[in-house]
This record gives sequence, structure tokens and C-alpha cells, in this order.
Amino acid sequence: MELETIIKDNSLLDIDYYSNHTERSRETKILLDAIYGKIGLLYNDYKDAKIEESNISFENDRIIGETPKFNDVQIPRFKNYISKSQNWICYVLELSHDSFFAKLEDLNNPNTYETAHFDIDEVSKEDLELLKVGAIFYWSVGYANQNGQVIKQSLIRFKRAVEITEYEFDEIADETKEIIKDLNWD
Amino acid sequence: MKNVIQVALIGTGGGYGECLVLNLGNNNWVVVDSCQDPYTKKSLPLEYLIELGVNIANDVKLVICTHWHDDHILGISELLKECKSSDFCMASSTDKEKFLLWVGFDSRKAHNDPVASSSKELSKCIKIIRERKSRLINAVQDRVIFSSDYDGIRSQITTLSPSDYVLQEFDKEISTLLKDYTTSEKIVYNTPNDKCVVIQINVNNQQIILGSDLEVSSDNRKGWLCILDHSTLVERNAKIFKIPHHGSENGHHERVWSEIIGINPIAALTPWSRGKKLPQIKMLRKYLEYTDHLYMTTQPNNNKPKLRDRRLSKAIEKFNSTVTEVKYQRGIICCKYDLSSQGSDWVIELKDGATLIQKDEINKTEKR
Repeated sequence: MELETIIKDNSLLDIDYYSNHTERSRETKILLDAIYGKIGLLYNDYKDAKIEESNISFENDRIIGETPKFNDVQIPRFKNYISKSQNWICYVLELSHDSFFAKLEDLNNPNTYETAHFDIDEVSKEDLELLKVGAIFYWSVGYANQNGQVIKQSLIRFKRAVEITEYEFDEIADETKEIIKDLNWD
Repeated sequence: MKNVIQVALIGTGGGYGECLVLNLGNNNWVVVDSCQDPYTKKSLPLEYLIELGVNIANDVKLVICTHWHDDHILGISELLKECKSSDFCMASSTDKEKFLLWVGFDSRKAHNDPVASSSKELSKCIKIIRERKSRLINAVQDRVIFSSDYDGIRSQITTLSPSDYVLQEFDKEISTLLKDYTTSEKIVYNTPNDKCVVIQINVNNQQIILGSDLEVSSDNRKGWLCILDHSTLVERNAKIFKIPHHGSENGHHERVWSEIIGINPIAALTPWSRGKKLPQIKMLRKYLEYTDHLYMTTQPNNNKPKLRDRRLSKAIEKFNSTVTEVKYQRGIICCKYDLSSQGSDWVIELKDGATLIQKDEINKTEKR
């Protein structure tokens, strides 16, 4: 089965922008990233894509002008990508021996929040030690494409801390000392 | 009308929060807490003040943060920024530098979170107060934080909590928390409800008690028993009572009603419908034993799944059928009193989802 995907009527590219095929200019890479990156491809998948001349220019790595159109261009084979997903950042509110209850902040439409119960079995082994009241996790439900195969999936991943560095610690401590001096604290 | 005083409870049900906008006469406006419209992300008390046509920059004299639960603090920095003549009041620990250090760490940890957080709001408020050189007033038991006596209108705001003991315990708690700033979870405090600021407002002979989220403890060095047993400034005839903690059992003590609140007062509360629904029907029945004037800002919701793309809804339902949306709705209970009119009484105006609770309605709901 053919595993290539055709993108129609999108901002893309047909012939070489530059005569030199082996060296990709920085501008070319920026342009390719701007287009392919949006649909979740990795650079290795599109680095050999061809492009046509256009009226675009670049200024400080920004694309100025309308990106060129193309018709029925075959692009390299996809590897893995998510085609549609709902994503939340979640906070564990309650925990029992086999389940937990969480508040879900909708990252797709950040307005009203949701709540849900989860089984502890849904948490991967590596994340179990992070499961506590107050813990933060990301939950994603949707459709993935793995080499052309559509898969419905649910992924839970607990947030790991980025340590506050010694530099940040000192910065906050110094800032606190300055704030205390100026604050009219009654 | 400068002789008309006003107490407006803005509530949202669902855990989106509650706040109060007070007019104490003589163009003295005070705001207690803040919450946000989840769609517009705007501060609800700020929007209300704009709707009323208040001169926000000059006439809001004080913004009070009773405690830093998200449902009482979101949008407070946006509000404070616009209230350019306002001081800011909140409870902090005994060691102020340590308190600011904790706020600094927690807001830095929350810096990369895509959602708002209480410590980010606190941090912004402190920055605003510092830049403006306004007063940051420490809330502690039996402290008068605002008073005005002009043109026949005497108004005063007193904080009835937290106690010195609670603030000292908070100091020890922060010392422990500061060691945990590298953990992956949202920092979990002993509930900020312990440190809630309960507010007493006196305008001429009218008294109002705002109960925030203060709960009852068996230890009379904290909670409602501390106010009942140790406060020297609490008066005993409140006409209006903002029922604490969404009408929960934890926030209720009979002595509060018999010793502090007057007979047949106006009582108002904001429900809560995230997880456990509050108030429970038995508590509504209990409150109706004390008053005929019980109001709720919104009706409790029956929560359902959020509307979204059909394919995604099916996928979510397949993996977890318990996902439900906590609906947002706003309600305002506005109590007004004309000081210039002899024999006057409080007039209640209900807006949006606000409702009067009656015994018949409760019985019908229970039968359903």
C-alpha cells in the first residue's frame, strides 16, 4: 500500500528556489519549517522537498510576503503524527487506593474547566511515584497516525519538576530583599 | 446616591469563584476578592464596577484578598491595577520576608504553566502596590483596616481573623514549604481556609459579616471559635451574613448565628459544584431555621460533557465516560440600604442566576 500523503492547495513548493540542491540556505529552512512544521513533520521528512520561486523575502528570520501556492505536490512519507487531539493540563484533587479525581483545564479551548475520575491503572509505572494530591499531569485523547495506521489513543503523563537553579534561587532572594525595602507594609 | 450603601455578592457557582463589591457611602467603594469569567478572563468585580459607572481610579479605596484559593483571587491583579487609589489588604505570615520568598518561588514555579495561578496573582499585586507606593495592610484578628466619618456617614471595616496563632503556624508551614520548591506537584498547603480573612463592616447602625471560606475547628485558637471566644471587636447584630465556605457543614457553627448574627438576617451564599456539591439540602434547611431571607448566587448545575468536535467527544467517551464540564453562570445578590431614609430597610435585587431559596423549593428538589 502506498504510504505517501498528498497535500493539496496548501502553501508549498515545487522547484528549487536555489540552484544549489545540496546546500539549503537558512531562508529555505525557515520557509520549510514554517510550512511542514505546522503539520507535525520532522525536518528529516521534508529536508529534500523542492520549492518554487516566489516573491517572499526574509527579515530577521521572519517571512515577509505571501508564501507560494502549489498544486498536488507529493511530500515525503509521514512517520508518526497526531491528526486530532484534545489536550488538558490536570490537577489531582482527590486520591484513593485505586482511583483519583482531577480538575481538567482545557488547553484547546481554555474557558470552562472539566472534572474526571481516573483509574490508577491508567498511570504508567514510571509516573506512579508522582501521583499525589496536587500533582499535575497532562492528558491527551485523540487520533494518531503511525505510518498510515490510524490509532485512537489516550495518554497520561505526569509533570516533572524543572528544578529552580541556584541562580534563580539567589535572584528571587535578592528580589525579595529589594521588595521588602520599598513596600509600604502596614 | 451617596447615602445609599450597597453590598453586592457576585457568585458563579461551579467553583469559578465569588467576590463582593461594597459601597460604604461618600464614594467609598471596597472590593473583597476577585473571580474571573472563564470565557473572557476578565475580573468580574471590575466588570461590575464598570457596569455601575463607578469612578474606579478614584473611588475604590481598598481591595481585600481574603485568601488565595483560585476561586477568590483570579483577576485580582487586573482589578487592583485599575483601582489606582486603592490600598491592598491580605493576611501574610508573621515573617514577611519569608512570606514574600515563598510567593516568589511559587510564582516562579507556576511561571510556565499555561493556566493562571494564585501565587502569580499575589506576586503581581505586590508589584503593583510597591510601584504605586500604596499601603499593603496586614489582615489580623481585631484590626480596623478602614474607617471614614464624613457627612453623617460613619463606616468602618474590621478584620476578625486570622489570629496571631494561625499566622505563626503559617510561618512554620512556609519554612517547610520552602524546602519543597523543587517538587513536581503544585505546592500543597494546609488549606488557605485556615488563614481566611473574615470581615465585619459597620456603616452607621448597620452591620455586615462576610464569612469568606472560614471553617470551624475544635481548636479555639483558629477558625470561627477563635472569633467567638477571643475577638474583642466583633459585634453581635449583623443584618447581612455572607455564609462561609459555600454553605458547607465545615463552615457552620450554631453559635455564629446565635451570638454574632442578628435575628432573621439577609443570608447569602455561592454554591460549589466541583466534585462534592455544596450546599447540601440539609444545610439549606438549617439556614432557613435562622432566616426567611436566604439567597444563592446561582442554582446548582447538573454537569454534562463539554460540547466539542464529535470525533473527539466519541474518543473521550470511549476512554473516560466521567469527564464532565463544570458550567459557568454568574449571579449577583445586591443589597441596598438608604441611610437618609428613616425606618428604611434593606432592599434586595437579584440579577442573572441569583435566586431566593424557599422551603417549598427545597422540598420539591428533594422529592425529585
